[in-house]
Amino acid sequence: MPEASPAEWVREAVAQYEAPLLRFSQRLLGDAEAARDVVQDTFLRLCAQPREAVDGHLAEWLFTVCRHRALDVLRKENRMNPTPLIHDAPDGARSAEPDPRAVSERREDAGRLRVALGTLPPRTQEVLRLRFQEGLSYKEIAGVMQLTVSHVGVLIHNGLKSLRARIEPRLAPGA
Amino acid sequence: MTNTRDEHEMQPDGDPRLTAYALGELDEAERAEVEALLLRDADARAEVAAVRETADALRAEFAVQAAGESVPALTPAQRAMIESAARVGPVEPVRAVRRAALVWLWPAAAAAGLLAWVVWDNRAELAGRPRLAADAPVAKDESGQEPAARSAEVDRLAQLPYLGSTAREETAVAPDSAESLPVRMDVEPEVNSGAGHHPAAEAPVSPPADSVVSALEAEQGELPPEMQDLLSALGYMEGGGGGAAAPRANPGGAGAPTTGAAAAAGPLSSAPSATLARRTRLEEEAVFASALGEPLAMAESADDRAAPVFRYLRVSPGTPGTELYVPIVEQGFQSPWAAPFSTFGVDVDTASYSNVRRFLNNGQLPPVDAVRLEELVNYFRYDDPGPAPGAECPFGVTVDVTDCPWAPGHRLARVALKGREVPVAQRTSSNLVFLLDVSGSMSDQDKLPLLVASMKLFTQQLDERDRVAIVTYAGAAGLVLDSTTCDDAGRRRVLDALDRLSAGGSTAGAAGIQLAYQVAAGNFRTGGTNRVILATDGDFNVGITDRTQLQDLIEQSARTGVFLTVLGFGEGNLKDGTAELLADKGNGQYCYIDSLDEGRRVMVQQMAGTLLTIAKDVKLQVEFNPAQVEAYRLVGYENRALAPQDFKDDRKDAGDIGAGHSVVALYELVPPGAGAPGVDPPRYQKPADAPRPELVSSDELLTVKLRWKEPAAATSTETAVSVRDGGGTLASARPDVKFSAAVAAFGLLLRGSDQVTADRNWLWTQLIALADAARGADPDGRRAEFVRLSRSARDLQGMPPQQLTEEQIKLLKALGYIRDGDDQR
Repeated sequence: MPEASPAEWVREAVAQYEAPLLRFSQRLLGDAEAARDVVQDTFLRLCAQPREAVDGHLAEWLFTVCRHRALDVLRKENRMNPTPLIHDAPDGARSAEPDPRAVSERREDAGRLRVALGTLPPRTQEVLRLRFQEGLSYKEIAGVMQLTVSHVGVLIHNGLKSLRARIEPRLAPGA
Repeated sequence: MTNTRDEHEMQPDGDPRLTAYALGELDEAERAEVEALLLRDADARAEVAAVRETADALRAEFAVQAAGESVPALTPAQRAMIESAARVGPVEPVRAVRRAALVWLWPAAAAAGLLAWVVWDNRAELAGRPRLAADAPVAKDESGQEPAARSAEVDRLAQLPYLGSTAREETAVAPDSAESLPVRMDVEPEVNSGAGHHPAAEAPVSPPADSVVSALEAEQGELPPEMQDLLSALGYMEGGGGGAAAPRANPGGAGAPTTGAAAAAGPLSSAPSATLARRTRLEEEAVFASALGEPLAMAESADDRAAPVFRYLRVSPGTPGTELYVPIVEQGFQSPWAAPFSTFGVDVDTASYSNVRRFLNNGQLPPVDAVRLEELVNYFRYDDPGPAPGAECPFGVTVDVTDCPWAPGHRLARVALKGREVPVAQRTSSNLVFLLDVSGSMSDQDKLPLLVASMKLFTQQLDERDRVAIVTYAGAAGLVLDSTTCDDAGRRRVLDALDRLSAGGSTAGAAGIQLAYQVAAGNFRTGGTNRVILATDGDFNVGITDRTQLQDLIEQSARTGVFLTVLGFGEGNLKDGTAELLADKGNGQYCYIDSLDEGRRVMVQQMAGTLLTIAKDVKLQVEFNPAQVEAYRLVGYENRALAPQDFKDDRKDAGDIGAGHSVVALYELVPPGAGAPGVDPPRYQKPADAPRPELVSSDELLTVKLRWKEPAAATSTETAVSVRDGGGTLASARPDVKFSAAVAAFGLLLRGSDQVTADRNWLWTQLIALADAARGADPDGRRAEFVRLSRSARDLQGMPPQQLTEEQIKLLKALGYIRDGDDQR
């Protein structure tokens, strides 16, 4: 424990990643209670790590551990398939529109995009979420998903491509 | 979709580089390349723009979803637990032992976690920096290169146990007790070494440890097939999960090792024990809930074929990282003025000692919360006097008062209960249900095979007075054998049924437990022993809502006379708190079985006691005389504490005592005038010289009151013993008194307790001396083993024997530990 305040960095990690990890694990598990347990365990494991072992990879480490724990739970409960990747998606756009670049016309696409997203293979959806929702890099996603970076690249590439094809014509003029 | 899924995922439709470029994922060289392409290719430019547009749309969509999603938050109890774990900080996997030795130590552990850890560790060293296993994803779907490279590494590592087993006797780091090495017992069942050995301390200079290093460093070729067979059989070659799906001997030398490597690289494998730190009494339920329903499941074998990508999961939970311990808050001093009574339920659990032993034999200090003092002390057999023949009280009660080794100036009162011995021939009939966890997580060598062997040992003790049913719980929770009378033919059927058990499937704990209780109730024997014997690694997977129901079921059944014994097996994901609590609720005993030897101790030597409960709900209440005791403190029994009024409340349950069982409780006492340590004078009460309640004039130190129920009774009987402090010393005390004091000191040192005011290093010396002097006949070798473990623990705590002062030498001589002429040990 080289840090003066060993608890501090964990506290910061909890503040920053609690919501993303809970969102992530809840999507995998479809159960808030189980998601909490998994995320709690993830952070407990983090506490047991020397800080230098996770510095610089914190997001990747957390998502990886969290995902493993969630898969353990699923496995234990014998419900590996199908993975309920999208759960309780809200059925309409909210008033707050966080992305400044999103304009009103996007809203009508949003429904189509959501439907299209749901038709993608679970793993592709998961990778897309890690990239575009949680902001992980290819390399980090590769770590979390136990894939190669190039495989992640293919999944994202194909995923975006399929989405584009499904919400034609406006977004995919070239397809 | 499913059919084309793999294709869809694997085959790029177009150029993924363009997508990566649009998302800013390319390195400089690749980016330059793509930019050159964009200059000359309009389609590529359109593609990049489209990717960006889709990506933006997707981000927006996810943001909208996130805004509308109800994301749960951690509960306050969960936050508190994380917070306290964070304060404790990382747990050193091994102290005072260098890395190379460490690699050696771990083969003693279950294969799975071991291999995972070792590979991780090794890779980290090779890379010259702490390396996150997630950095090195394995079992890649496409690249054939990675697994091949890794398999060589695993082959190399797989050699280690083999090297180890030949070098073990000389290798100082090697745990020198065979019972800690269940996975190895088939190879070399007899391993003994001198009790004077200092395992960890000698490790760094011992040649065999170096040969392990060279083995690590030398590239090894393929293993010969017979070696692979051997290692597989020992569980080293497989991920350690449910054997069904894993390839065994592999002529190419790549398949099985790759599985191991995949497993090994799971980042979880790097997680050392999470020590959950302090909690308040109020948090107990939350902690329990978390421990019981802990979704830290071990991956099962059943699904492995279907989902090879998840195979790595089989190993990761095998690390100590998923073991859970309920935090222990030691009891502080109480003033007899404020609290004249100390009340608690007895505890005959012994699991903590075998668990602590497992850690020490693995070269690790146990997590502090794995050290339950009363279980350490009660692990040993004591020859305290039993009840007088024909006495009404089913136990003998003995109190000894001596000096306290860990707190100079304090006194130590030892209260010993010794249950009546009952000849086997006189025991009552029994109705037993074996409830066996055969989920995939039990398939390790140190779990199901050990469980089966232990249950068979037990079954062989049974006769026509006993009935046994076997219920398993896993994917197929069910009645394997209906209640069967254990005459010769019946016993054979029980043994056969045990032999046929195999691990697999996931745990449906709740269903299995309910079934077991139904069977037990259906075959209830009035006036006999009715008991469910639950054997598990504690990795229950009962639903959230089932937790309290399960606890209720166990508690209610205990009231109707069906008791519960919990046997813990295996390491890595032991849910210690769960198991202990269940046994507690079920009026039962919790034992941890880490080896066949321990299995024999628990199942054969102690089960006679289990088969015949001589008293249930045994409670102790000690009243201290304020004229003789300034302050007192109960050592251990933290989770057995009762309120003073619970003593007389027959509805409050407590532990059972079986025939021949002994229970020891220790009180640390502060003599009058010494001042209670760590307690401020009360702010709202007048100072101590103000008038206090008048005392009955008595030179008695304390009175021990005992309350118990006959096994079938609903109301309690009570007895009391008063004691004076005769000024006795440990040096002149009976061996059992010395020994239990030494064990308590050992526990306090392992816990890093702040109740230790003596010099810690000197206390180690003293306790080793005490224990050694008190070994006595030691028919089962447990006390000699304790002396050895103490030495290991002391080394692991980095406290080498020191130069002793004249006075200290004099004391050791008084203990008979050193004689004139010896200078130091």
